Amino acid sequence: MYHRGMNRVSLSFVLAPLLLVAVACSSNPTPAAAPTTAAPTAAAPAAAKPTVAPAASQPSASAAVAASPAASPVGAASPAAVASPAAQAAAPSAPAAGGGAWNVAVVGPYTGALAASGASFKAGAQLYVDQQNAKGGWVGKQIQLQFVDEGNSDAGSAATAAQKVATDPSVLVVVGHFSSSSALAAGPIYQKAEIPLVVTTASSPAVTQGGNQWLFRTGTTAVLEGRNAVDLMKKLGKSKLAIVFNSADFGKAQDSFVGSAVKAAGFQVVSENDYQPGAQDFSSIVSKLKDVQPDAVWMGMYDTEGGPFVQQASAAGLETTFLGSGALLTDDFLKLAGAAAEGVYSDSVSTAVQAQKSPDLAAFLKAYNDAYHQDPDGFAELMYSDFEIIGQAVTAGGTDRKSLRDKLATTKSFKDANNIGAFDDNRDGLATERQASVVKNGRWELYATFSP
Amino acid sequence: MNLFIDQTVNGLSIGAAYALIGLGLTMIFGILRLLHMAHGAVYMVAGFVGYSVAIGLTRDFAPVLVMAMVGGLALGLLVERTAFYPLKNAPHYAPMISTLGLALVLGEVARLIWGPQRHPFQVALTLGVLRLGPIAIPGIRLAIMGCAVGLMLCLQLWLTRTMNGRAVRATAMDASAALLLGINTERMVLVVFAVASALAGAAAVLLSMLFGSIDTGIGDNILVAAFTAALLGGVGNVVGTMLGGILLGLAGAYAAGYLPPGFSDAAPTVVLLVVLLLRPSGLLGRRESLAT
Repeated sequence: MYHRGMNRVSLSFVLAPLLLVAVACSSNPTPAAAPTTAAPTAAAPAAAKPTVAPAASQPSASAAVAASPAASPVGAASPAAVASPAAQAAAPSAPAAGGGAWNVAVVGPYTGALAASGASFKAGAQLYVDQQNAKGGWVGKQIQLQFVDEGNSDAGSAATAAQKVATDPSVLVVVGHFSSSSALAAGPIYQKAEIPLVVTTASSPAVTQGGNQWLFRTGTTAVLEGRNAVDLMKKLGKSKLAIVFNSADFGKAQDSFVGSAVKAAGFQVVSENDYQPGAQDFSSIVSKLKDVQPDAVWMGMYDTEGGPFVQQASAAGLETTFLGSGALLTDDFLKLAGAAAEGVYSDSVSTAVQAQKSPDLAAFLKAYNDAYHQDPDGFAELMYSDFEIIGQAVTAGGTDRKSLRDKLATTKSFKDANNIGAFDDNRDGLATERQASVVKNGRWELYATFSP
Repeated sequence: MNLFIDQTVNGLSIGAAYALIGLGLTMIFGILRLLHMAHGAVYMVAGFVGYSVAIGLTRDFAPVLVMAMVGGLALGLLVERTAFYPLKNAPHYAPMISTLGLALVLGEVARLIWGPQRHPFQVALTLGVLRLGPIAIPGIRLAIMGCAVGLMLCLQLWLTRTMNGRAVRATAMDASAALLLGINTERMVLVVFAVASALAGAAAVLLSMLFGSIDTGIGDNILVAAFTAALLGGVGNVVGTMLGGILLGLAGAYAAGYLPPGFSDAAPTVVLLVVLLLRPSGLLGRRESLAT
């Protein structure tokens, strides 16, 4: 039609499969996917939208539409977050980059399926910086935040974000990189640029095993989660475990470390199932689990995947007990899972629960509620805690990249809301408390405390 | 055995929905010989129209479905007017670029309106479970298959038995000759976009209900699946696309049921490669197949 010759068909036939392959690659979050997603604006739309990745090589005009602060070029002032608590907190931050301010880049998934977690990153960081700047900043200089988007937190988008940050000479330190895939892809880039990177949520043990002296991790690891899984199974009297995991690095680490810990403890792993990150449909996995009948299922899943999974499993009549990583400990999980969330376990506890024992956390909880009128989730708390640690290292003399790295590596007595204290030889934080939660009456509540 | 039956039901229901979306692509390709890269975005936005109805007005199934279809239809016309019609004299790859651009715009606008996070999608439709001896088929899956098959039958009847449908096929067969015969070919193109996009809207509501969630990224994976369905069956071929969608759904479900982790995601691609190797123009593919 449009009075066009019919024989133009052939090129379209050639292009369609090519495009398809490109898209198939970009939705697979391995480093090999980098070329397709590593477009300038991959951070904003492309990561969440693998199909449009080829077009993301358009300039960042499209990113501007996203109202995504992070998508704007490095150095731009950070406007409000997308429909997030940070929106209210995004008071005019410090003026232009450079000279008079410490420039800290916070890389997170501000768009895409993990955007709610990204919003928590922002909120936690912004709260700390607003408080600290009111007290005069770090050693007399204000702190300026720069939010850089990493879309779905896949390797390709993370590498793009990291490249952008690494070329900015004013950046003192980078915090964030949400997923394990992201941290693994970004680590070497900052190492080469000699910028300290503090990651929090990336839990794959591989993240800190590359010998990268510039990378620190404050959060938990899949090794610890393996021990937690064993303790949870013992306490609940379960012996046949199935594992459902996200096929990115985060999920693979969960599968391998939880699986091996559980087997070493003498339990059975009866079924292992993976799915593409961001999947909506878990029906085939649910059918398989109904066939295998595990008495517990470990979810190596993010909250926005775990919620629909639990909901679909319950709708299909799968009767088992769900256990999962700390990534499930959010309101989004509760909303998406609905009534099926009841009785789901997570091997982590909410800030509100921890705050009952820690005055520091109680203060944070109150300040957060004052600023955002809601409780923080674990991501906001960890981000805040990271900034406390970095602040102490800067104050102790870590005023340039190299000395900051050294202070982070050698200080043995950090004081922070999350009780990290110090980093070990692998530059992993030494958090000691192991606790688990359960959903009761639509809320995450403390279930048990395990011996360290 | 139960696992096999369960996975078959899973595959058929998901595949039927893939086919609904693939049909839109295949019809548009059939009549214009052009690829519509914004079809996934249309699917996503239409789904969010249904979501807005569900949270704002009523959770009843029928209005949610109808409004999503109407939303899809309107958006389809908009796509034709903005991304195809102005480029009617441009080289044939131009609309591929313009629709990709439009997909980005729609995605970002949707993120501005509905936010980037994943939302629960709940519609008040309680369907029981159909039990045939040891086999239990959830009502919602039957409903999806029923809706999809019903819509596809209507489409096939419309294309073959009505004046408008015949005009569409005539336009697909030879636009110039159709024009000479007095067919308003431009209007036929609009009709095809309207129908294709309304089907995508229906699929968006059906799948979001089934999965219990919706987010602004859903259009992308589905576009890949719909393309695969269309390629499997033969682009431009309506019946072929239905078969392709169902084959794709079954391949995905059996793979998830029986293959070890790491392999299951590759299965649909392998099926596609094998089919294209053996039959390069798809299962039922022929050049001007919408016309036949």
